[in-house]
Amino acid sequence: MNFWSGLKNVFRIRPRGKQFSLGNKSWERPEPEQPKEQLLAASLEKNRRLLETEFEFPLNQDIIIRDFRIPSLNRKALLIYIDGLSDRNTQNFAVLQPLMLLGPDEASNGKDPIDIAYEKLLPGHQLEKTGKFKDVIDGVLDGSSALLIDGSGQAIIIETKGWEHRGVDRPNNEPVVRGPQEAFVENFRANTASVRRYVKDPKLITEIFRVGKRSRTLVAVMYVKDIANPKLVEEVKYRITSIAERVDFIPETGTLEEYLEDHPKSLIPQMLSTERPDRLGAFIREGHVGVVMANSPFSLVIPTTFAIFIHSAEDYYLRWPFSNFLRFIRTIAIFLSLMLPAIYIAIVNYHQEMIPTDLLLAMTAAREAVPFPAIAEILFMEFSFELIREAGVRIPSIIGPTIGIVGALILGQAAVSASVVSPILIIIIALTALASFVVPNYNASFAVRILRFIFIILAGVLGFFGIAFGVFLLILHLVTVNSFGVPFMTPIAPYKPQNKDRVIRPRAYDQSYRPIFLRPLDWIRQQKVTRRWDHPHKKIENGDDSQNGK
Amino acid sequence: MKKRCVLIGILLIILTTNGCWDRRELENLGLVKALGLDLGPDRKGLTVTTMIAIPSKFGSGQSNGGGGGADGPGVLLISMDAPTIYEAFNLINTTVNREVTLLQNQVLLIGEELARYGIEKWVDNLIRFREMRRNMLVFVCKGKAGEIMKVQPKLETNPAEYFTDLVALSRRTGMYPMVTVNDFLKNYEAYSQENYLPLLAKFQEEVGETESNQAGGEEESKSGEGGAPKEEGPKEPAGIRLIGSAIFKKDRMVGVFDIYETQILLLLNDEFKEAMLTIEDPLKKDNYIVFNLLATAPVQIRYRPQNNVNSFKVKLKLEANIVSIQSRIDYTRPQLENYLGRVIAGELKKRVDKTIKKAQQEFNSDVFGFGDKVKRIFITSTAYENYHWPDKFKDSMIETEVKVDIRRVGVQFQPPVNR
Amino acid sequence: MESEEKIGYHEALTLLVIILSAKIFLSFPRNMVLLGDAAGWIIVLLSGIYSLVGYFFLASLLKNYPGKNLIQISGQVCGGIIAKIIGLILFFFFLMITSMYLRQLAESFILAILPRTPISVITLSFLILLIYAVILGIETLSRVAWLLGPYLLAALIVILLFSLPQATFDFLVPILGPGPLPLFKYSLIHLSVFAEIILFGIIAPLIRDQGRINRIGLYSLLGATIINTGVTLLAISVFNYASVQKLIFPVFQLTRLITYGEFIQRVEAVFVFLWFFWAGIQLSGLLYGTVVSFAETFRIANYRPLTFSIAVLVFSISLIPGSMTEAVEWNDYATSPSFITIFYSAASFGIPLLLWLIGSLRKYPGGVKK
Repeated sequence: MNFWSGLKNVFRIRPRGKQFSLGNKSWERPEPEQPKEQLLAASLEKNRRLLETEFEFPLNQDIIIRDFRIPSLNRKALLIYIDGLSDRNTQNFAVLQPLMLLGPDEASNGKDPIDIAYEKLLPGHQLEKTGKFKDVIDGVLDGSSALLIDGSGQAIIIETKGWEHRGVDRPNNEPVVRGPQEAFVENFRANTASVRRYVKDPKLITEIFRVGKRSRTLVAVMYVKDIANPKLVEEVKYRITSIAERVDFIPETGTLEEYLEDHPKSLIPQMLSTERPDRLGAFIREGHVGVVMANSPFSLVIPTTFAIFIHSAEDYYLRWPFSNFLRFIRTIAIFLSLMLPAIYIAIVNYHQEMIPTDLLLAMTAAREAVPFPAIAEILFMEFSFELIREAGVRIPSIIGPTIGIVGALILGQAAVSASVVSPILIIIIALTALASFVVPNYNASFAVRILRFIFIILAGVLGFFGIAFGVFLLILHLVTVNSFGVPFMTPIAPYKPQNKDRVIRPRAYDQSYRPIFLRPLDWIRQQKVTRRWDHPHKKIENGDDSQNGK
Repeated sequence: MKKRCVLIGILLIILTTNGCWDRRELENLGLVKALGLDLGPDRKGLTVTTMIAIPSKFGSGQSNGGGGGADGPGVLLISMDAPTIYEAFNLINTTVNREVTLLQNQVLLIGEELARYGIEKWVDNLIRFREMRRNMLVFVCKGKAGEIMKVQPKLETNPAEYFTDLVALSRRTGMYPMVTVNDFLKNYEAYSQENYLPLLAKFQEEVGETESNQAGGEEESKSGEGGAPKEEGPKEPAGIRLIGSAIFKKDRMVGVFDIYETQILLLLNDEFKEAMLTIEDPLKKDNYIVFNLLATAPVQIRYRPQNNVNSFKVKLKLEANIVSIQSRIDYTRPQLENYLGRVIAGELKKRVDKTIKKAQQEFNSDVFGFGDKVKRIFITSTAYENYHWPDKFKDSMIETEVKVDIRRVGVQFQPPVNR
Repeated sequence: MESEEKIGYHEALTLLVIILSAKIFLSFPRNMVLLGDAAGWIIVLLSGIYSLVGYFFLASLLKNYPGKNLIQISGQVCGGIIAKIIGLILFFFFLMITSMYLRQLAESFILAILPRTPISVITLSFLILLIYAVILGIETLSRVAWLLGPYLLAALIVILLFSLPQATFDFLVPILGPGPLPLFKYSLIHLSVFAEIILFGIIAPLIRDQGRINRIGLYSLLGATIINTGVTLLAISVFNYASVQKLIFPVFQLTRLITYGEFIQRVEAVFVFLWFFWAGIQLSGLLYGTVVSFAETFRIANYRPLTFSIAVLVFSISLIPGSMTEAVEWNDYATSPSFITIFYSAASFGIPLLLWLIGSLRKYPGGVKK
């Protein structure tokens, strides 16, 4: 019974679910869940006991509760914070000192003591009043200090964040020669501030959510309100909030990516993760939506297309001919790293007539000593190269270069001398490996590496027919992948002639339109003729097409 | 999802363990580099000689090429008698431990006996099997093809490359044509032109022998190292030489054009590129002038059917560069240049007439492509086929006109004079 | 039906051109030259012109019934039983054409690169691709066609460039082949060369830009005419017409002749890619036509689950001809028109003509009011 129903399962075609698109279709969907609300009590003792139970106070020695009295209000108060996350100078001089020593006498004021403290007593630069218990907890865990005053059902969250963190450093994974050398760090506010520096638009909105019941990680969704499609923004926010209360813990944007993707099982990544604020800023300016997360130096760009994975950060900082040259090399490198071993196997095993005669005889002479068939050789060498690559990432940096030399030399040279592999194969593998490092995106390079193995097997089974089969299948899959309603192969496949930045990059002064596939609200990026000084005698109209997109 | 993976996995295993039907490892291939066909002893079958490459002699750092002996260090020669080519391959596979395959075959040698007998029965052999390719080069060998294949050339370890490079030099000498199976078949079926193939001969240089050649022939053979070096020694290793072209009518070889007639043949077929030719100095006998003849304009053949006689007018327009003047007459002056041009044209016209007459009278075979011009005046193909052009070639009237212009004279104006 | 799919203008154009001209890799040039000697290309050209005339009927039908595909139109015009019969005829047309082309294609692969592989392996693996493509929908297929189109065209131009030096105009004479009257007759019968245009009748409602559908059909027929005529012309001028009449797959032989220096030789395996993609797109489109025409005839809402069953049908029918020559002869019997050719021409151009006549007589019931 199991086998037959399983067999039927294989051939059953599930009805195509409703797919999100940026067009005009929408439908009813379930609302995201909200966290439970609990309010603070009016009495300090009750609040204190609530806090102590929540934090397991005497057991948990990270939490410090400082009781004191506010003379000007003549009430008891407490300050709760986490040691190490808060900045002691701010607390001492900007919180405790004014409250305990300074301040006019407001004991007779009938207002809520928290309100008095908020308006008159606390000289902090960022204060937040709240009546919810969850906010106090979140604030304290964030590194702020929470002030509770007896007799008030509210608390003030005072921003006193300050802990040891990595400074803004060079990007490790996306280095460029020409361009800014800044990268994101794990500090949330530093990241959002970096983006702000690149997009100085007052309409740049940062909406902050907390994701994860137990981790309460801060996630910021950044977009420009005038440009980004409101449906897209809604969808991103909807997806984030609908998972926020259902999971316990989301550590990093990589995991968040999996929760938000349209096709999580596909080999093709649908979101771009980038370490560079200038890149994120550039995408936000185009109408994409950026997602920045605390504790994560990688931010996400939503949605992405195929062309974006071939672009590197440097392409717009270099001159037009140079960057096109680099793009050309990159495209060839992607093709090589995907298909070179497979083509080698297909030619050597099935289509030997394609090789020029002298080369063929030399190869045969080299292969006569090798006991394995060609496909076994290649799989063995590819696997060992993946080993070297992975080991290179994990190795402690002191012995790093040594192992690199040892691994490559030994594997290459010794393997050839021992007649385990033939020399031509080493060339092929080396070329492939080098080419795979040219892929500018880490996620995409994984896709290429895995696909390479699949292509090798296909080529080994059916030669060029197998490779063509694989390529066709891959293209069919690529064309169906949707990244947040945007077809993945835009602007190549649903052809958008206005967006000329596909594989070859057009001149920067030539691109007047934002990506049409995002359906931005304002799709004019620049005027048609930007270099006015170049056409001194030509009469140029001032206005251009309509301000709003189709 | 899991079941799907399991099923796909089973499918993959079935596909891969069955032994992917076409996969052949490189070291299991016996690559035939040249194929020789001779008429078999019973005159019904063939003797097939294959030249199989030995890869280990081509490998890195192991080249001790160029020794003596019939089975040179690079290749293995095997001959088998069989009714057809392909059964011969099977027979060869009873001794050779690698699968004989024609994947890299570039050269096809046909023995003269077989060519004169008629290759009608074997043309289909050459095109139907998928491993045979239409861009194989075809040669006719004087004598037996198997004998020619035994000669080890000195500059190459790979004799097939020797043949291909040798015949590719036809664009420099024009003394022999370069013909592939494709060209052969086009003319074979087109019913308008006959075939011609380059002719190979093996010869042994004896000590002191001099070549006997046509009038005015100074050997500027740029074609590879065909001749044996003029060394002393009783038994010299033999050499190979291309001695012209073999003329076919229908499917049989009927005659031979020597190298000078072949040049004319190629001129009239638009395949001539350049060559060095010699004529006697018109003003001072016993001296020679060497010039480089270039065919820059295609030959023009006009066809006018007059009553029942086909008449053609052939116009050749060529250019020449003076290469060497033996008499110290300064031919670089304009009037003498024109005069020289006319003299050269006259000499060439004589040769052209002679060659055309030989093809008409002796062989009755239209190797020059006149039939293509005849075809143009017919509207439907049935009308042309009822015309039977090949029988009418013998009685056609062909007028020739040759014009030669001297363009360049090298780096020197007047020849140096010794006073 | 469940038509959530929309096809763009460029994509549809490329898709149709690819579907109409994929036969150049099979024995199509040979069949034309068998009938027309050196004037085989004239037959193709004349067929193209006739097909433009025949397209007029299809275009006017689509104009009168915007948003409906051919089978729905026949339901409106004739109603009831006749519409079902027409739908079934279309279904059989597509079924036969898909199976025959699949078989020929598998044979050509076996000949070209994989001589010892059993044919069912090639056919099966191809069918897996086709099934996947049809399940994903015609929108995906049109995008793939648009994506790959320029490269396929570029590879075709490469073949052309390499073959041109070997082409002589001497081989194109005698100009009129068997005579003008037989030429006209053959080109009329061989309207089947452009028979796949009926697929346009089925995908027309899905095209996003409804104002320009006429142009799509017209341009695709023109483009296909150019490609088909050009390839036949090339084949005749490189090989003599007498040789083309005997070659099984002339374009394959053309690729075998490509030589460039000493390095690029015997590279016909690379053109297998070209073949593969071209035929993959064509057969996916035709299989889609089969499945959808069946679904439309019987008013089945979701056509996707039918794919597997119809693929099995296609597979079995493709294996019916006993040998390679039978497969080629079935498709197009050379010296006299075969039943299949007449069926193709009649189904593809006769049905719109019939519907147009009946429709104009009955003043287009249910259509656009004039």
